[in-house]
Amino acid sequence: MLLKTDMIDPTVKSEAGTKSEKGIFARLNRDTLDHSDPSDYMEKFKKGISPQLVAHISKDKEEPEWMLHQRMKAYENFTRIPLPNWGPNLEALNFDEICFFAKAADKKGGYESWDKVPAYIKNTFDRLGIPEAEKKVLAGVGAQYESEVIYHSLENELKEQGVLFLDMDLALQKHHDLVQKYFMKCVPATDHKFSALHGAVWSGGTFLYVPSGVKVKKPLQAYFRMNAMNMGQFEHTLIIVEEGAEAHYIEGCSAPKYGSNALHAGCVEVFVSKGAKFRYSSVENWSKDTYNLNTKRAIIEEGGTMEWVGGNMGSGVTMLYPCSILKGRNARADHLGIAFANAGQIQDTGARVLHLGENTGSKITMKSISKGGGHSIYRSDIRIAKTAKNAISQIECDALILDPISVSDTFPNIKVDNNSATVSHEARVGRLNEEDIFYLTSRGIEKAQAEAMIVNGFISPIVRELPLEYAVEMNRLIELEMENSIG
Amino acid sequence: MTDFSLPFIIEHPNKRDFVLAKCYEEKQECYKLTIPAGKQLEKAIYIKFKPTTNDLNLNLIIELGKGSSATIIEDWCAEVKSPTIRFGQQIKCHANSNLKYVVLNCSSQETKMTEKRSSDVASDAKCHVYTYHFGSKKLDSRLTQTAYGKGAEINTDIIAKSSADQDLSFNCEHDYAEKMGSGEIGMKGIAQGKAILSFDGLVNIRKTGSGSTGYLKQETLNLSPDTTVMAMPGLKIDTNDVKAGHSAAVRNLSDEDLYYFGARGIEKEMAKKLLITGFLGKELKKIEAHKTAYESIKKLI
Repeated sequence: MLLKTDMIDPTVKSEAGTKSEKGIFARLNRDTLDHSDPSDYMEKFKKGISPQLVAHISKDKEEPEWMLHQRMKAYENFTRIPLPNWGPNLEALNFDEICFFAKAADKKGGYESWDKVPAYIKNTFDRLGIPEAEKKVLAGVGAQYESEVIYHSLENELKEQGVLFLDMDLALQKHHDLVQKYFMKCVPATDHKFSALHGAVWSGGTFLYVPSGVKVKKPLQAYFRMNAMNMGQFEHTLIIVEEGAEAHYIEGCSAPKYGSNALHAGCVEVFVSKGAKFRYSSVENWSKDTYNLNTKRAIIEEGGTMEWVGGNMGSGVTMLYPCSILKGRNARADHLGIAFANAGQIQDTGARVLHLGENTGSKITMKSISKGGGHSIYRSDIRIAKTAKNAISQIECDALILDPISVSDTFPNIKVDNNSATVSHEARVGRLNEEDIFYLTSRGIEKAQAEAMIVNGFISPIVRELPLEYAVEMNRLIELEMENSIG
Repeated sequence: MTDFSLPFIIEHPNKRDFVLAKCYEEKQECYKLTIPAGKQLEKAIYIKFKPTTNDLNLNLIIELGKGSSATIIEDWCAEVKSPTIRFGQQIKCHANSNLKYVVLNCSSQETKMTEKRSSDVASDAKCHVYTYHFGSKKLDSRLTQTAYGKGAEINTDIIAKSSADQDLSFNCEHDYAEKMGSGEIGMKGIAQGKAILSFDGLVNIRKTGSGSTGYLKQETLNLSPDTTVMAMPGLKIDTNDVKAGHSAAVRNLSDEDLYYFGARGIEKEMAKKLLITGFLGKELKKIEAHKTAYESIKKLI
């Protein structure tokens, strides 16, 4: 091991206010992440996508007619829209080899107790530390395995305050009008090929509704696990934070490595109302077989605040650019992200911010690390509309390249349509500072450990924004990457 | 010196210090200016364009021999009447040569101009391109400098003012193909009226370019609510033994600065003028030694 978990920056604060002596995720290792359960249930599910499959998914979920109609229209868009002509090459992604819908357990809305979850699935989530995190630091948990949610819970106190936190399939049944009002209004299925694909075959995911004025102190978490080979996961996350409300949601994900393509094309839509505050944190650790082509977007109303905190460690190819639409005056967005591109990985990540309202502000801080021939790309698009008087946007991105065979690119795009806006962008690329390494090694620290410490220091401004337990997980994942030990 | 007619005027005290010839590159007519190896030109060569044809299509090749040095000023500030100009340029700087190349463009605001410039810079050679753009109704400028020799130094300064309904678009790339290259791209501009001003820059350090240092800096003053300003500062780094960075800023004159002048009895409009002069003045100083060019640009600022 290069690092011990107790080497985490001591200044990292736990939002949940608890500090466990032994981190929940301290046991994370290669076996935990690469472990795969038997997947006999896959025999019932075919690979490839067709209108029949889209209709079947809708029928299986007993969806209303409008959703079937919307799915079919999205399918048409998917067949019509070409693959993106920029970014990483996606030609090797074979849609005929992907299983777009599979159920490991048939329990609509998920089980309400971990004891009822089939043992082999529960064991997987136990290894990932999810039930333990639920007990110690979380206000609610959703766990998805393949295409459907298998567990969902929420603290009673929050239920009584009117917070809704449930499986997206179930939300469509129980809160039909609310879902219909917001579903794919932030990310339309016409946006790009993978939003169209998502609109056609989405399954599972999370629905979170925080009523006006309710402040959810502890984070809520959803964990998405792909188990079978060639699986595709298309969970839909719909979050509505009403006026003056506050919440923090954490998303985690992983999949075993098979040496054959898997696809994740989820969709996250967040609606932040007037004066509300929402933080969306994610630690993505899909296997390196996976194409992670996720779409995340938020619309922020007057005085609202949206914070994106993300760590991208896994996936063979990632294309992920969380987007904030600052619609109301004084709306604000903060984007914080880390990407680690190891051997064979392309981490194409970044941010998009559209300033529409007056006095809107955005800050983007991105850090990337490339190692072992990995390729990290920062891509951003900042647009200041004519209406966004006095808008301010600040972008900072730093890249570390750890060896001569790795690559780092930075492609920001700034467009300003009014003269009262102030936009600044700064980026630096370099390697580990020899003087820093010398400083540490001259004090008896081994070189590899010194390098890992510097990398941890490099990412600490972002990691410290996570609750302590998740900061530990993030550092642990970086540690595993530095060891080259994640599949 | 030449036995053929030129679409431009060449001014230099000693025209025997260089060779000007007509040439053909890729089936296109071109003009080639060569500074022989070892020749150190103390005075600048002025190339003054005064095209009058409807559609000017011109290619110019500049070659600096080993160990030579020169300053060349390309001047488009005469009465340029051609409504459409397509200009191509290739610079070759051989080992240990040193070129300062200044472009002054204050052509008519009716002109549509497309320019494609490139330079290949050999070992320990230096090439510094300064372009001052104030003219053209529509300009599409592409400039690529390649440091293909060890220790080559490439620098580019682009200074532009886009006013009224001008649409000026600049694309500049520095490509570090060999070890220990260095250089900086500076893109500085003012947008006002209903103008469009676009700066697209890229620092590209190849796998073979280890030990290189490359920076890119973009700065735009956006003075009017009806302008469109774009900034695309890119980095493409294929190896780790490098120092590279970029920055971009788009802003208006700050209220604090205007207040500073106001508090000293200087009216707002005058304060604005002074601040703009200060913003571009630093760039102007870089060509202070070349009086004619300096005076032309100073007047425009």
